[in-house]
Amino acid sequence: MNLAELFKTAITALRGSIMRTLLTMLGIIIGITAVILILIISQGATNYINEQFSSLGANLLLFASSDAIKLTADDAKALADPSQISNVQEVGERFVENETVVANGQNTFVFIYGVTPSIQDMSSIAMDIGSFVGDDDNASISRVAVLGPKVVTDLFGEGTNAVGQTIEIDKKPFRVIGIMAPKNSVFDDVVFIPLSTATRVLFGVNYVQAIAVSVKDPLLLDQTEADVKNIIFERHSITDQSVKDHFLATSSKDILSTINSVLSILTLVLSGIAAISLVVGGIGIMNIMLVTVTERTKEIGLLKAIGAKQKDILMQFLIESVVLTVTGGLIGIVLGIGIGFLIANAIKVPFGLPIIPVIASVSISIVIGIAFGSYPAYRASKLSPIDALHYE
Amino acid sequence: MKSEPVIVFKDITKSYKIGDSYYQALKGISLTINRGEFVAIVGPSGSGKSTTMHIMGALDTPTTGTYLLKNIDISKYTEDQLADIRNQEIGFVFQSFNLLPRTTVFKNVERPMMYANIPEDQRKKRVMDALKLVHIEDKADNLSNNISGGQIQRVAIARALIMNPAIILADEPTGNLDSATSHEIMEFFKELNKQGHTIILITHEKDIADYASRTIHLKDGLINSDEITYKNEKDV
Repeated sequence: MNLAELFKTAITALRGSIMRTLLTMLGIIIGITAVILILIISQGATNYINEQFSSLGANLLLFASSDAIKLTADDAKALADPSQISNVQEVGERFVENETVVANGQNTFVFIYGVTPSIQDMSSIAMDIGSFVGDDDNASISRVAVLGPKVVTDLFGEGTNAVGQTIEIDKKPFRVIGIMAPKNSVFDDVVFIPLSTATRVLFGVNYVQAIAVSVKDPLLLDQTEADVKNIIFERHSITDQSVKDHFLATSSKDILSTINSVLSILTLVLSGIAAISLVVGGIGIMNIMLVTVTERTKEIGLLKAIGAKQKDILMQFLIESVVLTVTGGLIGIVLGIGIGFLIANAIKVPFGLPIIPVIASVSISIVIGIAFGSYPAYRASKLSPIDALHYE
Repeated sequence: MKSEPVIVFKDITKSYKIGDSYYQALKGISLTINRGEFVAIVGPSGSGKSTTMHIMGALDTPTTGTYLLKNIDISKYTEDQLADIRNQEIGFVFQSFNLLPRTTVFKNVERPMMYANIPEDQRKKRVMDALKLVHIEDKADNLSNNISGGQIQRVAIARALIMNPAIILADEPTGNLDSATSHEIMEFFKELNKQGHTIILITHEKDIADYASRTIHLKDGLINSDEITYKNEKDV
């Protein structure tokens, strides 16, 4: 018998007892659904985090003030000097604190970003209306503010042109000069003000929290990080190695790879649990196939009487279990993708069709079918025709 | 017509091990069946007729002795070689469980050709021809569990004929049928025999054995008598 005929025969046999077939497949269906679901959700989460980070800007090095080293605006100026360090594209400083913002009788608790103008470029911030914080605003310590779209919605109502309106931060009035275009990221819910205004007027400090450095050549990121550190250590006269060691730079790449590795471990663990259910499903199939072989002993005897060889019987039962597992696998894939789509929509992470997991699931189904179908099929093929014919 | 041996048994014995002791089911059987014969093998239970049927049908091999099927010694064949012999040279009709359940009549008759790797385009015509021969072509698409006992036996006969085997081996083919249907089925066998098919009938019913032209009586694993009966021809 050729393969196509074997498959047809197997499908006919399985359709003969449709209820049992469905129940047998249930384990595989649940297992594959779980695997696909876990992979879709974790892939969605990974995509979401990647999007968030790329909106923060790539090729960025972020140097945070430590207890021993308080970074200043002058440090930033030094780093922006190409005669000192050549691979630096732009330098931006920021000071971030949580504050309550009040306007229009509404209030909202948001991050206040004190920034220099280059932060706009480095964080790829686009404006909807008005302008971003400028050099003039920093020089004159202006009380001006740029609002994220969500802040506008919370304070003034969605889509309101709030430019020219006044908001209060820590009871001090700020004039709105611009509204950001939506980024669908954390920046939608922040207020940008000039760095000088943030440090001197709002928070009363003479240092910045962090200096962001964007590089020209991303391949030289590590070298640039070392160069920046040397300049800072020299300017702050740092010699103590432990202080040096605690002055860390984070790049968006670092954070991303950390989060991604955590996510992939989580995915691996969850997939492992789902894989256990696949094995249980496989054992279920083996069980039912063994019962089937016993139940169909007379049929096997008859088939042998009319000329079926051991190989024919072996293949027939093997293909039946492969058809069972693959059908179960396909149903699992459809369910997994369907439920995954609904969940991704509900928790608002991007939905991606996981091609490789789908292919892998089908392959795993086939392997389970062969692995757990082999023993029952072997038992069937080894039955003596006489014993099988006379089996009661 | 020159007699042409299809089956030759030379001193066939068969022993089974039961626990520590051996049970000898056949104690030395020699016989020759020629092409075109209609032979009934009869005897009480325990006489060895089932064991004879198993060996003749290539379902089992003898412990000692030689079995020539169409002049080929198959006594030492392997399980897979025997499967080929059963497929090509033996047409079985059993007492019960003749057809695959939940499978159409057509598919049942077709199955031996699938094991013989006969191409699909040739199979259809051969199945329909065989079904016509037993007057059941209108049931081709019925499931095997939706036809009557007599019809099941006719489908089994069609399947037995499909590979044009050397012998048709019928093991109590009327055991589950009422007497009218039994008669009808036996008439089919008689008709097939007239067309030249070699038929071997295993039965314990005398009136069924009477359809055959030769009756071999077994008793305690040996041939008790072997008589040519021309009863059929006389009856007609």
